[in-house]
Amino acid sequence: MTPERWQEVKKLLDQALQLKPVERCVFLDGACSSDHELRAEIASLLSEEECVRPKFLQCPPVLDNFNDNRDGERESEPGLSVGQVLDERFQLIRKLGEGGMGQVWLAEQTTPVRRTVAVKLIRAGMYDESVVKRFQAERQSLAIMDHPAIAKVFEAGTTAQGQPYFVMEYVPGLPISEYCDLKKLKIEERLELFIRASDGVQHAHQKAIIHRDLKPANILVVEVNGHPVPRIIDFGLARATVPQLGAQTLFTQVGQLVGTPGYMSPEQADPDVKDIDTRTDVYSLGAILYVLLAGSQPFDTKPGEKLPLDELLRRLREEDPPTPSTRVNSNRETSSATAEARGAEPTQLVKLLRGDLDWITMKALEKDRARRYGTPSELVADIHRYLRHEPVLARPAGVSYRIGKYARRHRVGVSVAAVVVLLLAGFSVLQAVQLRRITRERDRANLERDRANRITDILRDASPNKDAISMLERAVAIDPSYAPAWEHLGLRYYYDSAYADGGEQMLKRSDSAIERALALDPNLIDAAAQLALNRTVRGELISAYAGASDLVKRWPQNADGHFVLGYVLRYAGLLDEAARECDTALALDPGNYLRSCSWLFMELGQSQKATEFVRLDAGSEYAARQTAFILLRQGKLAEARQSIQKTSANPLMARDLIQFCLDPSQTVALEKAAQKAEAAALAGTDSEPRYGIGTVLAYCGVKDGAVRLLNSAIKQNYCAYNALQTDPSLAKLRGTAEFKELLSAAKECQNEFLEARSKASH
Amino acid sequence: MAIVGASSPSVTQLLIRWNQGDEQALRDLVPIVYQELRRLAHYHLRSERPEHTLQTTAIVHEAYVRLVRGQPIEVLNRTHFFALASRLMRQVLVDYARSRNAAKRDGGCRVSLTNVLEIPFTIDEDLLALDRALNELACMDERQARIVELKFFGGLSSSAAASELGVSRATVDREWAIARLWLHRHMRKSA
Repeated sequence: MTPERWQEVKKLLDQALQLKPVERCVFLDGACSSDHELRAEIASLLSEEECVRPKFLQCPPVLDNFNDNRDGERESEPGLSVGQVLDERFQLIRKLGEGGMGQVWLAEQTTPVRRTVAVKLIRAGMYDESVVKRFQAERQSLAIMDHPAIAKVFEAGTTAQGQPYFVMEYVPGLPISEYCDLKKLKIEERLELFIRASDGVQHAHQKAIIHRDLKPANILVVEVNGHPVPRIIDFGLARATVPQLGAQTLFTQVGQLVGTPGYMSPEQADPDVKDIDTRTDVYSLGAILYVLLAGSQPFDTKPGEKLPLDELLRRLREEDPPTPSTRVNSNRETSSATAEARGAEPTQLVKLLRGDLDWITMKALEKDRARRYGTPSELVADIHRYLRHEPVLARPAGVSYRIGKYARRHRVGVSVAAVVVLLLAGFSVLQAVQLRRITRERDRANLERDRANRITDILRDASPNKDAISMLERAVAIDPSYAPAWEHLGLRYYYDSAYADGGEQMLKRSDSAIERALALDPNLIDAAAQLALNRTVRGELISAYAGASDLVKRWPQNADGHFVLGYVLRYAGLLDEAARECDTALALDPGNYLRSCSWLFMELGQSQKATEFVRLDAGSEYAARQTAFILLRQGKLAEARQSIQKTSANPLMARDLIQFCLDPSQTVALEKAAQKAEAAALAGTDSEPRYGIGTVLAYCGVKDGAVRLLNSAIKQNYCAYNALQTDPSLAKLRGTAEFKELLSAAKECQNEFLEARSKASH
Repeated sequence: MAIVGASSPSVTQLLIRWNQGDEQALRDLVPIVYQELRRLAHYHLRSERPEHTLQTTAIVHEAYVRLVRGQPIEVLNRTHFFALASRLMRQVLVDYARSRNAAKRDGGCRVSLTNVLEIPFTIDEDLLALDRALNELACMDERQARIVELKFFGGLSSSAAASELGVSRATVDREWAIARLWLHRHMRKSA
């Protein structure tokens, strides 16, 4: 049919469809009286309406991995049968069960020892032979696990048909949740059992092994001399069945989902997170604890309700489950059975869970792994506190809360401190090395967030930063080859220099710590960025520029590189170029605190963009000062005064300066505040505050001080050639002879940079 | 010493350029979006959970969220993204269905893991028949075929499809109703 003809068909068909079926015939007779072919076509399509199923094309295709065996697509498992012998050693006795991964068989091993084992056959086609290879690589570390709560995995092999299998200790037990319910264990007894299982997980973590798929079905309870003993199975299997994903293979090797929804951590539910660490097990333990206490999973669905996987994953990543006590309380239908299985009345149970146990469980289930218990033993320690009626760390108020907050803010310091304490407590060297591996992984994951929080609080209180420094100094003394500790030390020294009283001395120490870090690991982006930054504030623009542009070249997609490059360019006075880098950094990482970008837009008189770059940092002292600076330039004086009041008495914050400046009756006080601020700016190592305070002085009419500060900033290579011409705060200064001199000095400063840069590029 | 622009342009930038008529931007976009759809489909499939299913349209949306990453994007460019992604999603599914059929013809051996997407899916319709019917419909009426693609493979609502195509929502609904009839007849006859 031609397109034109089809349009005709459509037009009439559409009209016919609006009519009742009985009217259609008459309509068509009239509409296509002479064109029989047209009428037949329309009638045919109209009659099609009767046999179109309502759902035809209404439901989008569904991805569906395991239901597709209905058309015989999935091959049946290669014939495994009772009596069959694998690898001439394992005689299959009976099938124990079948799960997502494959079948589990009870088997008898004949040589070299005679024992009963469990054989887990990985479903055909799910994994290739490399499973076995990866397992062999892990074997060494699995072998050193020796803990009563961990069932051993003995070996891995491949059947004649190429099907991989694992041989492990046979544990004739019940899943922990079923066992507890069957035996009607009380809450305290359940906690005791849970603690012993968690100890096993802790042991594995000390050997640098992460389970990744902890769930009640993998923690079986057997009775030994009448006492329940938990045994964790499948340790090391998840690791072996997931290939290592390198950054480059992102698109070719797809992140596979290992874990069980409900017990899986939010980071496992996120295909972008590649560095699963020990805290994933802490989350799963939290989910198991939840079930033991409340009788259902944190993200339980109603009976009969089936959540699509993406919805489940979304909830896992975004929603907070109700606390265990709320869960018990909210479901009247099940609460009496749940309570009975715990030897209590529903109201008693709710009371028992409310408070400490709720908090402990929810802390283990934090979405942000940095806010969870760092290790299973921390979780266990808090449960012990509960059992001993001591205040638990998870308590969200009072002193413990503040400590928790501190730990959250200064995570790196704390985790390294934990290592130091353990080391001092006399851990063997081997364990120290294993621990270091774990800590190292964790530190890396923390970096991003840590950098966001890093400065805000130091302005108010420098001592946590100083504590972190002394802990890190001890850490590098114990292990001078650990690059991330040097890196963090370098950052911490800088904060002390820039935001406390560390001054030039700390800046120098920052340099040398960072150089140590980079010598050990040249790929530490933060360290390289910090080095360029240190050079910038000192006015060593050429070497800073070389470092920053190298960063951008090596990691073009990393926002920090662009940010630091923008930093150098801002000091060099090239505000447009700097603005481009800031915009790029923001686009690459919209959640990154790029607040000092605010300076250059402020200098360009672009208030809105300047404000945008402190938006993420809202509430901090830095943002309050910056906002006041911006408002001052807009002539919004009342608002500027309001904003500056939120800052501290630190003269660099310019609080008194701006307040007295805006009050015409306070000329004497203004003069004093100006002197103080000038002295403070000149005492610091960084040239930018000199420019900043200088512009405020210029605005307030303190001309001499302004000129001195601006001059000193330019001398130390805060070139500011553009800024001198665009910055609205300098209006009063512009007509003066001194300003001309400043401008030519600034131009010289900028030219010097430009020349050196073009020389370097040739 | 090149500084700015050394990095590859973002998906947002490519969408904007494509919208401005830059054909190369489209050529650059296709592999990125296609890869992301495959990656997500594959990722979700590895879930091992028979009780959970995932609509392919959810993947299109997730791909959008991931690729655009919260950057400001105009409505126009967003619908362009969905238009492109729905076409590529169709491609992903058809590729798979073809390979599966080919494998069946070759004596039913399993589809090789290395060269095929390995994206099993359930679809109430015969996908290959639908694909052929859609191609034929597109010869007569390109826009109508696009509407089916957007709604069925891209999971777009009628109003989203309408804004993508620059027509009214009522038009989309009318065209959709007629397209269903025509496709149904075509697929029934060729079955």
